[in-house]
Amino acid sequence: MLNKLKKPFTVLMSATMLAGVLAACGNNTEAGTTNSSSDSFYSAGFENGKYTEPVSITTVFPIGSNVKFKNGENIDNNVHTKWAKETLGIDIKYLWTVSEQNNAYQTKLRLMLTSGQEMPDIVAFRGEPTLISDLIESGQFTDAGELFDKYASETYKQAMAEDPSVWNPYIRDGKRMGIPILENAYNNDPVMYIREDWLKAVNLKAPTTLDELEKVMDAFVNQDPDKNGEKDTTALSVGFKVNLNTWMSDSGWIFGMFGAMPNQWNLGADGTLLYGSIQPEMKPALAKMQEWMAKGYIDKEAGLYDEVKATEAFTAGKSGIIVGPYWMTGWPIPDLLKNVKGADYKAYPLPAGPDGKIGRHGTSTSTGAVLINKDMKNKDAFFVYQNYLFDNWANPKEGGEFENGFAENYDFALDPNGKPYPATETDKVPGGWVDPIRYTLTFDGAIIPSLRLNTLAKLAGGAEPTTRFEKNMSLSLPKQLEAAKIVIDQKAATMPQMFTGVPTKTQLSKNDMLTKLEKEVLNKIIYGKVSVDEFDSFVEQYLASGGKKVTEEVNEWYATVK
Amino acid sequence: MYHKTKSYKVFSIFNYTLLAVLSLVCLIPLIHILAVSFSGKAPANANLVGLLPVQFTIDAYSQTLANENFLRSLWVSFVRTGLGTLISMIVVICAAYPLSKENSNFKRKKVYTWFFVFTMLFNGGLIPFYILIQKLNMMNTLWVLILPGAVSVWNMILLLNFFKNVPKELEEAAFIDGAGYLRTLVSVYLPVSMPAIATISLFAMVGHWNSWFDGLIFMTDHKNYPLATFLQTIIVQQDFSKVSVRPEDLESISQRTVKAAQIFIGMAPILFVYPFLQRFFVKGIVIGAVKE
Repeated sequence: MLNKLKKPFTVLMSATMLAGVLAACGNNTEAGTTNSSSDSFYSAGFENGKYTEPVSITTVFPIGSNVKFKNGENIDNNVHTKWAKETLGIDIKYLWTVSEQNNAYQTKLRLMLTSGQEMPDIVAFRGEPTLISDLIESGQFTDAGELFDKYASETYKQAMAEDPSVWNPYIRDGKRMGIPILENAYNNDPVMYIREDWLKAVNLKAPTTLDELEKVMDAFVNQDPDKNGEKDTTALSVGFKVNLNTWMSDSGWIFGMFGAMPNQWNLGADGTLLYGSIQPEMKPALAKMQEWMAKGYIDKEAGLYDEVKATEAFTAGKSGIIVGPYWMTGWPIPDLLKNVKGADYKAYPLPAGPDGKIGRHGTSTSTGAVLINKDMKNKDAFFVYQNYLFDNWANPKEGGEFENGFAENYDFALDPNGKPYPATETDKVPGGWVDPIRYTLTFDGAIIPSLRLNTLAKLAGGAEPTTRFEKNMSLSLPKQLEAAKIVIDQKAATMPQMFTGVPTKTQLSKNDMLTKLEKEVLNKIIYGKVSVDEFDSFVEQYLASGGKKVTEEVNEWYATVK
Repeated sequence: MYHKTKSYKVFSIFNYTLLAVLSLVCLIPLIHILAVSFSGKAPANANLVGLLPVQFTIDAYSQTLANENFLRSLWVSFVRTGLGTLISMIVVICAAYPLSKENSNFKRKKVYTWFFVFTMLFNGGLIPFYILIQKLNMMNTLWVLILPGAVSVWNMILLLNFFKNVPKELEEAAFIDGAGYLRTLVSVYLPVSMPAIATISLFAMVGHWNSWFDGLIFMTDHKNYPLATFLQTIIVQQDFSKVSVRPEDLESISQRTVKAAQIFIGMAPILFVYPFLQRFFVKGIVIGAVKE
């Protein structure tokens, strides 16, 4: 049904981008907070960090599954909108809201676009770059980079400068048309979780190499690690219904051991971008997976499991190893401890391949952008809002407004002595814990990409928390700190997705078919239905059916942003 | 005494077995959902629940019934189904009755019939439809869920054919007694067409109850979602590859038990409708009304 809406426009890629536009090289206009209203820096009267007369920002909003309200509040009227009005003099108005799932937000934005409705002042969107591209093409949005250089605060600029490539997808004719929404770096980079009690039961230590890993896996399948007298365990939980290289129950690292990384564009030795799934390094890894499938190390259904379904065997205590992000320590792995008495797990670094290679997929520092309407009356208002969050929320100050969280009795509660309860004790919040930062214009308040995981890793290393942020983070589960530390320790193994542009012309026309072909052949190989040598003819076929053209187009794009 | 024969017995056994298996295939998933909704979170997430609850708890139900969004959606769905079915049935009956008449009584009947059927075969597509609704200022109203689908041509044709099979003598008798067309429709046709009307009402009801896409597209405020849309938005699996997941809000994601409870509560009302409509499905009301 939604497919009818697919890409009604051909996306025009502009090939005349300026090379190496850096976020931070604009002239550093100090967005001070002491400007008086006579100063024309702001578009409306502005005193002490606040608009004297409320200015309004209109927007649209996807209600994610993690957006919850209390006290009868809703998205139009809640602790966050009140805060914006009282603290900053900004009145946020929502033209419409929609649930986030099933691309509903995307669908509605697209309908807005095609039916020629007037666009809101700002549109924030996370997800497929095609829609943002179409919105930019509509010509209703302004050069956001210019505004960013003028109005963004120092903290905001520094956060953006951590990875200048975040602008790449939104550059048109040298103009930065969208402001990237920043995410936590390394957030989805995987670590390996192993059943600690199983390791003890089979009397082996955690694997650091492929050979050791295979010994452990063999023991997990054949030596009855759960001691129930039945051969009912698998060694490794993976789910590759969607992709081999994926966000949970990942198998990308298996390929990483051989220097390959499927389902993404990697930087080749010759400095060009290569599509991971068709590189020769894939072959030995596919052979391994085929072998593991035959030996029962991997579940026979793995090809039908999505990322969540594949975790079930692990949380049910029927599988010994799973690979995924550090936050799996918060969900879903704790279910294991509830389901299986005496179960214990631990995070370990990813093992090294035959030549000592370790490889894992990365995490994008940005997955979306904010577009600013060219007819917006007070374009600076968005920056006043975002600067405040970057200065006060992203890395809060001691005694600052957000030191414990966004708002008392929403995302934190104070005990009788005026001390905040630890973040893990959400049940202490009267009337239930909700997370108001989720109501913010860019969905997560303000994120300094490098801060979170590095802080967790630092604390795991035994550092004393000094800043407020560190103190808040130090209340995380110990297992979470450990996992985060391993993610950071293995930083060098990250193989980032190098193509962040808009889908190219041939990708739009051929991708469905190419993806289908790739899935079919790789699954057949892993399931042992065809020999690994089938891979070579698959690569030929892939290149002939459009893969070659796509590679050229992707590299044309890469040449413009290098 | 054919039912005494051996082959008939064999056939009966086979028949009942097949029907029992078929109903089990339909029932087991429901029982599983019910079991999950009464289970503890951890076993449900790890798929350890079969047909019986594990770590029995009614948390999921208390949480669902305390969720105002859910209750509001339930109410929207009730109103939509009630009003929608009523309006739809009225217009469908009013259209089917004249079109079931002979050509001699109703000139250009064919033209009108094709006028309706044409809409079954061709439509403008989603975007023109969306623009139309927008221009009519029907966005975000209850009417957008009720009016666009009110004239269900398919249901109308079903009813039209049923009306055609009603013996003409009944109508003639009514005319002789001095009834007009409207009176005949209300006092003669409707009572004898109860099975068809009940069936079609049920179609309309189930259609309204299960329809989610229109709510998703035309409701600009998720408070006005009908239940089907609401359920659809919570049940679909999320993809975290695009989002910065923070461990602290993962708790809210893994709510398989709550989902199961919501599915069940959402299903129950429409399940209860069936037995009450059952009595109207009995045919043969016209037997004996006409002496051949």
